[in-house]
Amino acid sequence: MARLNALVKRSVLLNTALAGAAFTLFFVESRRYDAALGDARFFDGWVLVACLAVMMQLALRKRVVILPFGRVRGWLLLHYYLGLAMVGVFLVHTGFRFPESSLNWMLWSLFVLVAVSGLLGWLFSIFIPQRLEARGERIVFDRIPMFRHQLADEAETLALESVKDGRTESIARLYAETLGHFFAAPRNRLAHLQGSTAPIMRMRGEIALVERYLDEAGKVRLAKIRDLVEAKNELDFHYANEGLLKLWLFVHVPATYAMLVVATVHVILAYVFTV
Amino acid sequence: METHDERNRRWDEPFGDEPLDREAVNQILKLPPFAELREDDFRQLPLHGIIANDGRLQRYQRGEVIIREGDYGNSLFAILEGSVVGCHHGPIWDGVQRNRKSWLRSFAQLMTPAHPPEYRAARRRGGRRGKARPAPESPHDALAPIDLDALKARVTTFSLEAPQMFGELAALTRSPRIATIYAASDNTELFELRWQGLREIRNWSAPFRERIDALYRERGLVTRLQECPVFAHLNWAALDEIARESTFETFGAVEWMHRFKRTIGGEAGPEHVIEQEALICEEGQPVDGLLLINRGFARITEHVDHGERTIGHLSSNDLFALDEIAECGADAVLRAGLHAIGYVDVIRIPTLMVVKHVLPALPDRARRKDAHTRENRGQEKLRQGMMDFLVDHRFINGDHAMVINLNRCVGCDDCVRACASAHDNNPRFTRQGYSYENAMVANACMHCTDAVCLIGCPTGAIHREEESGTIVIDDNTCIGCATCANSCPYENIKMVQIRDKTGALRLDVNGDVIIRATKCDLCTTQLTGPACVQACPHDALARINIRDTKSLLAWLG
Repeated sequence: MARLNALVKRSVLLNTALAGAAFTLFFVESRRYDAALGDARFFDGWVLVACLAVMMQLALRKRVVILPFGRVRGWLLLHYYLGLAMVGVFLVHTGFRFPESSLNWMLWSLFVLVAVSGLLGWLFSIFIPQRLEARGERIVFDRIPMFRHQLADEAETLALESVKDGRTESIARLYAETLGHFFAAPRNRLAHLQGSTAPIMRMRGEIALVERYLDEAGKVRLAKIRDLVEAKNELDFHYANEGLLKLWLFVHVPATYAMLVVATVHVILAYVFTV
Repeated sequence: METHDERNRRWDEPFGDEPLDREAVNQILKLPPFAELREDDFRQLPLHGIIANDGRLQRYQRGEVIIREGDYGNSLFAILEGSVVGCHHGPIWDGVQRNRKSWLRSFAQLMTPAHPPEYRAARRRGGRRGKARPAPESPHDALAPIDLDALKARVTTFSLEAPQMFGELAALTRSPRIATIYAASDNTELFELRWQGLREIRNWSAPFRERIDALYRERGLVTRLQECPVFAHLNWAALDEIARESTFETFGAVEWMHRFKRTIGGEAGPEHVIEQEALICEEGQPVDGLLLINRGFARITEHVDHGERTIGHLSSNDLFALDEIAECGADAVLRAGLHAIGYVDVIRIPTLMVVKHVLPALPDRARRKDAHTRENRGQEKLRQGMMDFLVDHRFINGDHAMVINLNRCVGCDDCVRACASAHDNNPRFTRQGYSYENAMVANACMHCTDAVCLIGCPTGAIHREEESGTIVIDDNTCIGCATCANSCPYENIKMVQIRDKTGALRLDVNGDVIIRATKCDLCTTQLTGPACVQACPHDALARINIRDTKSLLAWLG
């Protein structure tokens, strides 16, 4: 079983070939059905329903994880590759045409939304962990707000201390105009997702501009603030990327359930108006 | 909101069904090893109480299994009546996990509404403490008696008679039994003393300690030589001569974990851990015998400028300095140094003995560099950074460490949820820990080879499962003293406040919150094994023996 798991999980080509073979089998059977003067759309439709039912088992498997029904990894692979094959079945079912009724448009849109979000989720789960790992220490997503608050408090304290000294305004002004906003919430999400360093370069520039007006004590304080800014930038990077790993599910899962509802109505209507 | 309950106490669960009566205790105290014990020496616990509660009497018929090779036992046996026969014929565990839940119970677990975190059923029953649970069923009970005459014809056996003792090696080293022992006559009566009692008696009685330790050295030495592949080709006479000439040496402190925790958690960092490791032998010095690691771990180093570079590590049954002796004989000089990682037992075999008995008949393959360590044990050369990471943090102690591949982990926390699902809504690990490159060793019990958490437990609540060696905590006997949690070098045991069905804290009669130790139990009772591994959708989590570097590196990619 372990060997089989290892084989399955590492053989993308094999899995794709299996999905292709399954689709081909379906296609041949569908054409045969058509040739026998049956309404192939019913056959295609029920194949789609069956695929959907199998794919939905992933969520159930996760809930009964203490029962020996195979590792979730195997179920996820089944979900992925069956999903791929299902796109083909869907295209055959639609006759490679856009829908003509509003209900079918809704179903078509939901299917596309589920498929695209699923595909994106698959890609995110491959590439984002590597991106995070390359950046250094992994930060647990749920703890990011706590760390951000700590950094914000430290930055604010440094800014207030500089005012209390009575000789420096520059740091407090920098904090009031730029840093306060920067530390208050996650920033530059899009830039972090694009891999852009422009926002942090800008921030470093603004900090460097202030340095010339400071005495030694002020420079030490500014150096600490610079470190806090870099740390906050790291947090933002993790927040943006780890957030994306969670966000796609908020599209994929509700869209799936919505698709299930509309698909049920579609099946009922198909039988009512065809038979 | 609080509810009052009773705390578990030291002897709530005696080793036998009932504590031994005074007559039986007196009979045991007449046995030679126990006859020298003086009640006055025992200041914390009464000697009679220890014998009565931490010991039990067992009766066996001819051919019945008493202990099995490979099982993790933690008790010492003294023969009261009859005799026993032992042999080394390899572990005979049938691989069946006997404490696994049935399908029905697993379904029921899923259907049961979630309790509040750390819920425990009330201990008080009808105003009185419940009767002690019967002793757990022994896995040996399922084995039929064997034909001893046939066994003796098949393998070499040894005999022990009253009042000799056995089982001290596994009990003292928290390691698997090294022989299978059968009752040699009907009505063989044995006194079995569990680790907690053995520890107390050994701590408070110097004569007993000396006797037990001498037995441990004598038997441990011969046994280890027999187990080591390099000596496999030697006959009994040669082994005996080597054993007589060899010495038993120990390096480092048994309770090394406290200093280690201070260093690793302090500002100095893991790279300074090596400074607290006792030097066993130094690079460039003449070879003073062949070293065989009996127990614990050692670090092989070489000088680099002003520091020491780790080039490998050794564990039980590994040899050091064989290459040097094989090449240069008695004039050999050490090409590397050796440090004790924590606490190490070493057997030093004189060079002369190696040259006389071992080298002449040693196959070429075994002479090759590192053949006796890495090749035979699935080890692959680690890059320096990874080697330092695993050795400095002493992760090489882990038999089932939770390693997370950060290249694949998406942070979905399905592993944590699965763990909670398997443990009544209480996750037993934290998905964080030290990391190097894409490997993170998470804060989950590693089920260590040298499980120092077991040493101090007063009740034996934390123990190894006899067959699988998994370290588990018996919630019914945990008194919440936190000794195990303080001892764990990796901070993988958590103390929790227990609650009742409404979520209210359970308090003892003094109004103090009752606490218990908790940790990962590898889901031993679940049908699936570790739920975390089952649940990971991206194959990013594995339970790995860290010393199996071949599997580790293959999995990390």
